[in-house]
Amino acid sequence: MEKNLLTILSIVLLCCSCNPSKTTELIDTESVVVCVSGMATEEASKSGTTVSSYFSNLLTTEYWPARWTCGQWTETEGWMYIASDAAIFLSYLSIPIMLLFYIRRRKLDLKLKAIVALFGAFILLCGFTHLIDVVIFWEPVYRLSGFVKLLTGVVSLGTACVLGLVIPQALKFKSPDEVKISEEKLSHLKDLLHEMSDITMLGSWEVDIKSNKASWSDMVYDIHEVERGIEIKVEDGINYYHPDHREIISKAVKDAIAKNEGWDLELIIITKSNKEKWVRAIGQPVVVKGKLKKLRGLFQDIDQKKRNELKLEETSKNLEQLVEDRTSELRKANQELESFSYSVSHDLRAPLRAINGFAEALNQDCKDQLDDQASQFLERITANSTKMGQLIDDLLEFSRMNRKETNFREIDLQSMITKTVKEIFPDASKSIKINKLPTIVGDKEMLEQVFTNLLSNAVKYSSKVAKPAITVSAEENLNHHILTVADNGVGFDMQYADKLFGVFERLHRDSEFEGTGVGLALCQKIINAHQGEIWAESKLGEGSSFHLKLKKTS
Amino acid sequence: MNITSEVQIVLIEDSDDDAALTMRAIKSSNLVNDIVWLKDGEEAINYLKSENEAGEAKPKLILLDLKLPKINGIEVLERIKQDEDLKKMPVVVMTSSKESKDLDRCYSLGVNSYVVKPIDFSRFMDVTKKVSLYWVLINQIPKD
Repeated sequence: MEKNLLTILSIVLLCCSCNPSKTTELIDTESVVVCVSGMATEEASKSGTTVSSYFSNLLTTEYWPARWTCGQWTETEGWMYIASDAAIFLSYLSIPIMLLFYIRRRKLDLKLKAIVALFGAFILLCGFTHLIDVVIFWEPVYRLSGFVKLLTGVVSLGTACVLGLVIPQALKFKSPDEVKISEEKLSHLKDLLHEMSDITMLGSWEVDIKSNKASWSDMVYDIHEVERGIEIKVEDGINYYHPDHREIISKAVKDAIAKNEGWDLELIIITKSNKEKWVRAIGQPVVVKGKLKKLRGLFQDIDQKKRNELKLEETSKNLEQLVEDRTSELRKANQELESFSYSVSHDLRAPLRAINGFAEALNQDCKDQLDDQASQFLERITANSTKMGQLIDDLLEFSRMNRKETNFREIDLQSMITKTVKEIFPDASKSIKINKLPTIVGDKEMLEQVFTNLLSNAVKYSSKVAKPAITVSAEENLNHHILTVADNGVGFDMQYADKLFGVFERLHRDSEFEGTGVGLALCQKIINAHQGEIWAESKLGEGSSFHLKLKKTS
Repeated sequence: MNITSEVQIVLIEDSDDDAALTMRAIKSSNLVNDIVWLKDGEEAINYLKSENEAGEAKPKLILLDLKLPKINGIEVLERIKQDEDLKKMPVVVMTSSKESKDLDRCYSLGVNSYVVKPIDFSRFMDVTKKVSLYWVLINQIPKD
């Protein structure tokens, strides 16, 4: 079997070798006959060739004629054949040499090296088959030729198989154009990164645990104001930190090494030119296969931002202090005001009482001695001191409301106003109509004061009409209650409406209607404290309406 | 008509005018005559102490103004109400102000009554008369 295979292979190879002579074969049948007879002779004589005998006598030439003598070669035909084969051989020889050079110069992985070597061997073997074809013109080493071709066939097949396996991978390789585009993209990204680093003043660093060497990006050097590229050790990096912060960063590094913990800290460094600078230092351990290999992180100049932050913090602290100071000043002023009004209420009232009292005493004790005019003067003294007493009382009440803290709760207006009317305006209660009133939220004492004042005004200013009619009513919208106290009294000219709520502002003379001009000012103050609104509408001679707008929930 | 010669009312008041008007009001009723007028807190405390030690009968009413020189009315009230011998004496504060601060303080110290003096004289007369008559004639105080 083995023998047969070799025989067939040899015949095939021989035929291939003899191929160029086929054309001549047609021309000269005699030499063909010679060759064929030679072949036949050889075949007959070594019918017992074995594999071992084949290889032991590989270079034998005795069974075949040299190619020059096989067929009728002209000089031109033969030398063209020889020269071409020689050229092919030389080029096939040079290719593996170049590949060898390539493999040695270029770093390739082992697998790729093997493929290139295999390819080189395939080319080289092909080259040798052509060399042997040249040799065969003089020395018919057909056995060697057969062997080399066999070898070439095997290596070619192997190369083909490997190529078949490698092609799908090779397809994934980028073409030079694609590589160029990728490189452009990469360089663009690099530029962007650079720009970003410049704008954000953010650099990166890495420390190799084994060598204890740190590598800094340019920005990190720049932040430290250190010449770029200088060799840095971990300790050097730490020593750039402010003495107060050195311990913090040392501990962070130690923890990162011992516990695999990262850090993100805002600390001060002292640059090479002795400037204090706030930086954000971020670090992360890099663990490969459970083993700490590197520390890696970012380093950012946050000096301006941090200083602004600190300034803002200080400003806000100062502001708080200022508010506190002002509040305590206000509290003090309030206390002073309180003691002032305390004095007023005592010290101003006492002499008034004396004036009033002694005028009255004079009137009682010496009535007989006084003429009409003197009596009248005395009456005026009494009336004025009484009026002044009222003014002081109202003023005190007004200032008391300023200082009073509100105490909000639910108030049933219906019962509150009914009670007020009954207690304070018993004489006028028949002319006061109270419609259905809601329950609202407010300070009861304050609102009682408001309705007392409004009702008192309504009663006073409608006292001169034949049939006084006063109505307390309520309306509501989505968010507010609108409460109204209306009368049919003298009313007022709307052009003075804005003066109504000023302290001591009056629209009527005392001789018409008595008053101090404090009541409505007080009402407005109270309604303001409830974040509500108060306003009035009137027509001279037809009465007035006072409206309160209060939030449904306070 | 003089009911008794014992001191019935002690008036503690620094203002001559107020004192004169108050006494005029009290006396106008013709029921009470024996009024002792003391012009400041210190004098008042000393008087009450010495009277008590001398074994004199206790006054039926102390009318106390709040604004006084040296020791103010509130402090006088405090001393009276904290003194074992004096604390049963009825003290009525008669003052110009109705400051809630004063009201609270006086009541927490145990004042027996708190009256605001009206400016209008006829009302003042009326109030003063009523107060003195009530405490001197109607109210009972423990003997001893």
